[in-house]
Amino acid sequence: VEVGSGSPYAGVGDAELLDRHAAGDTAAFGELARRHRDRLWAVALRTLGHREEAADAVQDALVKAYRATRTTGSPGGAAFRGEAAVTTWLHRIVVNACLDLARRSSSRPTSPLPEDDAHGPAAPDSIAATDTSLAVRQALAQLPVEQRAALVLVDMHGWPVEEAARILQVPAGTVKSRCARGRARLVPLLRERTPDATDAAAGNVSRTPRVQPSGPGGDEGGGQPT
Amino acid sequence: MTYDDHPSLERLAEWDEGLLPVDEADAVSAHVGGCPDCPRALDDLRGVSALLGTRAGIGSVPDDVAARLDAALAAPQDRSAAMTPIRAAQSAPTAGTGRRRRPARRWHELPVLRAAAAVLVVGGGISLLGQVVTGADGDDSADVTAGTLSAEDENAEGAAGSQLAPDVGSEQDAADAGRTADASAVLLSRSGRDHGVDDLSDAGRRMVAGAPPYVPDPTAVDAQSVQACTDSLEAPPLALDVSSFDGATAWLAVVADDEDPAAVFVYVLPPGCPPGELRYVERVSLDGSRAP
Repeated sequence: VEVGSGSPYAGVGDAELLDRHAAGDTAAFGELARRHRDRLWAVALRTLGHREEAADAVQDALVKAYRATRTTGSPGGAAFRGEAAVTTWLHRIVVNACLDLARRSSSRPTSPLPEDDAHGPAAPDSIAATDTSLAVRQALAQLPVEQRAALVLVDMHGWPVEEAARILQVPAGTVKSRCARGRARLVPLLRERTPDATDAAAGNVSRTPRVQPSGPGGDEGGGQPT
Repeated sequence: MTYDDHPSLERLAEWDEGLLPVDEADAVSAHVGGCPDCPRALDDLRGVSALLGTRAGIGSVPDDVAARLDAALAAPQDRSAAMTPIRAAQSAPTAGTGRRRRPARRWHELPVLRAAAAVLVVGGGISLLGQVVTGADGDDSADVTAGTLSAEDENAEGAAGSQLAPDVGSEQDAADAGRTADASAVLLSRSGRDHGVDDLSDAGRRMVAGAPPYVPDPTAVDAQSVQACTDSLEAPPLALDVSSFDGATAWLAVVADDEDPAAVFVYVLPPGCPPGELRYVERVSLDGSRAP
């Protein structure tokens, strides 16, 4: 967990921030949100494919989290055992907000535009990369949101299946199943759009039977994809 | 399974995830082992997974979104001075503010929730603001609290301020009319489910529908307690469920939203609905109930 050295909260962990928030520290939750919002935003944007909807979902989720922890203390009725739990919990609230939003607006087709993704690790360094990103987004947009959310967490962000199951509040088998079906639907969509991309990526993948992806932190490791 | 009879991509993907029963998995393994085409399909599946891994796109939140989030989270902070627990509603029915306090107003007695509502409701077409602040029950501390809230509201909501003065002693009869509970009209259940912030919406929708696990059970709550909850909530609940919230025993109460027939409030209360104690409240749109 990043802890800004110039901040008055330098060295203060996430769980401690929540405790301070519950105790009335008016700035603690804002600090917590700032630490996590980049990652939460990325998940929301990929899951929803719409910039405004993603912003709505993240805002809704954070405000909900704010008041939940203010009125009832730490979620779960007990202090978080570690930073990983806070990260998982924040993801859970944001992903739930995304799913709610997507289901409410499911009558409307999603057609993400390039502008919807006006952020990113850096400007894509080639036209091919831009094309691939767009192709991935458009292909993802054709999946049911439950499959999309599972793939965003597990395949994109590298969450272990068990942790993704906690975020999505479904059994691990359900996460695997959603990922499997989602990948199966994506193959033809991406094969026709980005033949090179899938081939290139496939070349990097072992042919041995898949094991659980080596994802972020697992349990005590901080829980954040790195 | 012959080599002309390839498993579908979906089946291959499930096999790859170890989701198939042993006998089916063995059949797919045998096929893939000798098929000239399926290993390629398998590579495609794994390639998709790998491709997604290169597209996480974790960068910084765009500035406008960051500003929006800061503002949303700053709004509750501005009200921290009035961050008192929900004020007790232990007054006798005739000593109220004169206007029937409905749950929609109760919402506003929680400054955090009200501030959150102010944030969430913007553009939503539903005004939850500018409601009567209750108080003036002859209880000095309550008056002080109400005064604090009024002043704050005037600051925050400007024109709404004129509606905020306690309106003591009128039309109390109207308030009393709906406050005698008819226990038989309330959907009572004992789901035993442990709820959290995230599933209250679902719980509220299911409770009003009597859907599992909120199967109506007239013995779940006795009539006296239904009355207690009606008094605490100042409106007869549509449904009551004996269960828990965040691991602690709690009752869930669903109350109609006076201002929106398509919405309800889900309250989390201590067992027996002791006056003035509320652990959480969530406004739930019933329109969303068609979501899976």
